[in-house]
Amino acid sequence: MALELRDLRKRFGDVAAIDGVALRIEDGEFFSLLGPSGCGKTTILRTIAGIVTPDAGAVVLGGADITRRPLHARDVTLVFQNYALFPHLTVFDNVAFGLVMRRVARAEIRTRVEEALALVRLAGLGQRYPAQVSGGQQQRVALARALVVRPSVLLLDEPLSNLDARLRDEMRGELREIQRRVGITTILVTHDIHEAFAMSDRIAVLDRGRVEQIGTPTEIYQRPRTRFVATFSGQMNEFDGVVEAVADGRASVATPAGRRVAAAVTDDAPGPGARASVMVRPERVRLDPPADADQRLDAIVESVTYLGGSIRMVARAGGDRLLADLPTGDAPPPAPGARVVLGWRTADAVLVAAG
Amino acid sequence: MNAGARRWLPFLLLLPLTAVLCVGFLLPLIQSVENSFHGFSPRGIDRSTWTLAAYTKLFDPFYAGVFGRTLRISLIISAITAVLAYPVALYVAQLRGRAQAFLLLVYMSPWLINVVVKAFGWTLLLGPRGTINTILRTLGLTDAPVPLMFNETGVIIGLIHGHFIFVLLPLWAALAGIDPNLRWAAGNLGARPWEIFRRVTLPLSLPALMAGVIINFTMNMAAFATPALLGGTRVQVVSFLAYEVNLVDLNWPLGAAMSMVLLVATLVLVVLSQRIVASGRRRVMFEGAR
Repeated sequence: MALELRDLRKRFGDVAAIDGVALRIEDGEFFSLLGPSGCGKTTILRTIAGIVTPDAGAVVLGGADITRRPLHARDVTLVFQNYALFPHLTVFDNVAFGLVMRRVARAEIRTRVEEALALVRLAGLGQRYPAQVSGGQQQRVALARALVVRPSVLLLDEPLSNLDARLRDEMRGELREIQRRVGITTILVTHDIHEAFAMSDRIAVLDRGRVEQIGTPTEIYQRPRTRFVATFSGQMNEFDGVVEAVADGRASVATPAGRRVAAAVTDDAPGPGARASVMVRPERVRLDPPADADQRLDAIVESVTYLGGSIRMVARAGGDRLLADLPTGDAPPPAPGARVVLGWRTADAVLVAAG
Repeated sequence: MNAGARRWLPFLLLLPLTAVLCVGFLLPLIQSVENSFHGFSPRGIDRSTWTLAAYTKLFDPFYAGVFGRTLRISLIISAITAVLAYPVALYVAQLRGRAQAFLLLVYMSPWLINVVVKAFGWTLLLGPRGTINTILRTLGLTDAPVPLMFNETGVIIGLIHGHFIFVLLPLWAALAGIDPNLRWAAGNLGARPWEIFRRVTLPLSLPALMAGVIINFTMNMAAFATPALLGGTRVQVVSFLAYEVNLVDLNWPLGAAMSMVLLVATLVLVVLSQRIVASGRRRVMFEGAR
């Protein structure tokens, strides 16, 4: 079911945890709220669940305003960061909890719980207590408990953060696979960009209670619209300066050191005279750039680090420090101190307003 | 420190207290067990004979009655205290840290006052001309004073007050320690506030409640000064009677037998209630899982 947040606001003392958030999540979509700790993402999730009451704004689920509806009467279920499994109940009873509360018939409870446990590959563990299963299994119990009631929306609060790295990668794929199979509208809260990129249809990047940008993972990574989104979603080469001219979807920026750098822009980009930055991802920077890489500069190699799949080169061009992630080839990379030409296409550079 | 010394150090540190407990507690206890099986004559304990006479005498209606009363009063106090302490613990557990500490101190304060002084304070309130009866008369609610002292009511009131903290403290600690997410999770899954309490809060706090009630019960069974001062001679309890038998009648075998029965009865009840708690934890919410 589609979920809409309308100008949601919540203050805790002097801090605006949610500072006017508006967004719409489509039916069946996997949507992520991505941001650093304290950006308000968990508060938004708890507002949707009814744990937190917003000061203003509305939560609209499938056209119905549920902002004031009590916790127990909402058709959304939440997987807590610490799973919040009931320690005194078996795995089976944990999963059955929501169905018992909904007064589902006994026989149906049994089949649905067995189905849910099978879905998360926990069949046969129903009689264990939460303390008797591993962290990854606890995570899946929490997921089964939330899914078994067939909610309109599934909320996931950093569900993978308590797992070790290998298990996290595995669960990431599994979670997405289960979500696709069940076809449920899902909202994931995370501070992990890779998690958000790997699982989401769309992402809202949040900072200090505000939405910075909403878009597909590709849009967020390749066309960030604010400085925060650009730097939070990965590393960037930055050229700070003043916009000189905007024409034909191109803006050129002059840096204080006298360099001119261009970037592809859209209509709402900062206009001439505005302070702005041109940003380029390290993997878009090429060594001995081909003809279509129209942005070029001479640089001196400072360091070269072999990373297996790529080579991270740090180079200096005048006052600018440049990062370049180069493909590993047969030829050895240039040594520190070597003079090189680095370049990229204007289309690969973005322009964001000065932060 | 070498490995040998490290291994023996804990035992060495335990030694002083163990010695004190052996000499001051274990030996007298063993002596009492022995005394309870000896005969008694007007000249005193007769160590040359072995008999069950002291235990048989406890079946006399008088002694059996005192045991029955002690047990009944202790259970009533524990039950009332459990009911009274639960809402208090719930309330305190959801306060902010500083308010919690302050309120717990308030509830702990009776324990800081000498038990005799406390009992005397109660006589000022509960006596025929005490505060409560004066108020009742002034309001015209009663003609004759309501007997609140020198009966079981007085003992129960005094001990509820005196032993309240032993239920409140463990219960508060358990309730304050419950992850609030568990309650949110239950609500999120459709549980109304009452269901959250019944299915999450109560079962998770039950072991602590039982632990508190057990401590409270053993304290009630062993209470001496409060029953003596608020119950008077008409409401005798085992501990007070054992004191009289031992130190006034100097009938050590009978006194020892009373102490033994009190000790064993209390221990049996404690073990039984712990069994009940343990089995309660195994209970499932949805029996269909079987």
